[in-house]
Order: sequence, then C-alpha cells, then structure tokens
Amino acid sequence: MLAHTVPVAVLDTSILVRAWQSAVDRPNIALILMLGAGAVYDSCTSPAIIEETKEVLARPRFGARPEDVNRWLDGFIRASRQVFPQLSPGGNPGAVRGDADDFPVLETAYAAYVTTSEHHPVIAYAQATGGLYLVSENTTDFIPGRNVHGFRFIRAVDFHRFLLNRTA
Amino acid sequence: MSIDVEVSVVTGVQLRALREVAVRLDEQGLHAESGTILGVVDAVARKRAGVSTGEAAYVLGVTQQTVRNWVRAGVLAGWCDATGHFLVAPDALALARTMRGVLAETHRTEVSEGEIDLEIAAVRAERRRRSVAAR
Repeated sequence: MLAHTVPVAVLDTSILVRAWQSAVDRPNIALILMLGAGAVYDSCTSPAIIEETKEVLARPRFGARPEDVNRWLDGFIRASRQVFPQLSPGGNPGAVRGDADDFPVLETAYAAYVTTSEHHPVIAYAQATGGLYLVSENTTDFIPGRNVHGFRFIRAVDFHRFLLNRTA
Repeated sequence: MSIDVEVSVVTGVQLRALREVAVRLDEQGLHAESGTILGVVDAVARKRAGVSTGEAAYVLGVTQQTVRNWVRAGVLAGWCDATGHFLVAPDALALARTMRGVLAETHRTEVSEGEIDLEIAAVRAERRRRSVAAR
C-alpha cells in the first residue's frame, strides 16, 4: 500500500512535440513535465504515442534527425510505465469532440484503465484515488476537466501547477 | 558545550578502509563500536551521493524551493542531511539528465505552437487515409 497518492499521467503527442521544441536553458512547461516523468509523478505511455511523436518530428518542418529523436524519447520511455493498447474502447467516451479512434492518448488511457493491479499496482492505486491525468494541449478535440476511462483531461500549465503544489 | 561541525569530505578509499575496520571490530565482538563507525561511514557516503537542490532544480526545470518541498513531502526521492541540507537521490534525476543532454546537443528548428498542431493533425489525417485504404 502506497504511503501517499502518486499521480499517474499520460502525456499526449502535443506535449512531447512541444517539449522537443523547448530551449534547454529555459525549459518550457512541456519539457518540465517530461523531465519530471518517473521522478515526481508516474508517467504512463505506449508505443502508439511514441510512434506518433516520432512520425510528427520526422516531418520536414521540424528538421529533426530520427536518431536524435530516438535517443531523446528513449530516456522518456525508460522513465515511464508502458502499456500496450490492444483493444479500442469503441464509441465516443463523451469527453472528446472528434473521433476517439484518432487519438493514441485515448487508447493508452484505456489500456492503462484495464491494466490489472497485479501488473501495475501504482496505476490501480491511482485509479482508486482519482490521480489519473491525460495531459494534452489539444483543446479542440479534448475537453479539459472531463473524464475518460478514469483519466481527467488537463492542460500542461494546469498539470504543472498541480505538481508544483504537491505536498503529498 | 560541544559544537558539531562538518569536516572535509573523505575519499572513497578512506571510507572503504573505515568499513573494513568496522567489520573487524564486529568480528571481535565490539558490535556497538562497529555500528557507530558504520553509521558515520553510511552518512558520509550518502552525502557524497546526494545531489544538491540547486543542481536538481536545474535538471528538473523548477526552483530550489520546489525541490525542497518535494523532498520534504516525499514526492521526490531525497533526504535531509545532518546539517539540514536537502539532497536528491541521483537515480531520480538520471533520465532527466539524459533527455536534457540530447536536447543540448541537438539543433532544432523553431516551430510555432500553431504549426505543431497542424503537423500533428496532418499525421493523423494521413494515418486515417492509410487505414481506409487498407480496408
């Protein structure tokens, strides 16, 4: 039994890409959230999110070398718990304006939701104590504050503020 | 009145030698003396291994006060040493250092937030097209 609630967060592609763009000497909020993964909160990610991030950063506009992106994401993957979305929940969870099938972050949240406590006791405990977050800058499709599969949508600035104020 | 002062940091070789002395004392039945020495050795070893709040704050992109708050609350792995200084466990920062290190070595093109969202949308649109074409 954990001594205190450990929040679990899934960082959307929109956060990871913004983190990549951050200045190192003045990290933006997205990068700060990535740097805190595994250290100040439990990060949960999936191959779907990682592959989508790589696909975005491989586009010419970013000019990123794939080997650099891979090395960078490797650190984040090692800092995170991985889930492997095999099942899509189907239908619109009611907190998403677009087609739910389009968003790896929702597949990841659902995979984490159905994960048994045997495999990821921290996720199960966070489920029970309401500490599950989907962090995304996509407010076009996601509705901040709404819940899907037990995860609450939250923007990076709000999750950052939540972490800074954590006293337990 | 006795005053505790912090002496200069000992070397790893000296710490190992002290630990061997503690083992020999324990073998001779001087358990209390052995325990005392081991306690000192462990405390010094931990201080050498801990990361300062200043460095941890830099690595994590937050203020030193936030680091102290987190360590005090048990949010971030660390401890408070005998002099009242907060130290952070090196393991807690290792992967953050790795991510920072890669970004520091990498040239990145400036892209606006709006462009980021357009590029993500384009990737998803392309994936939908591939998915439809595959059926």
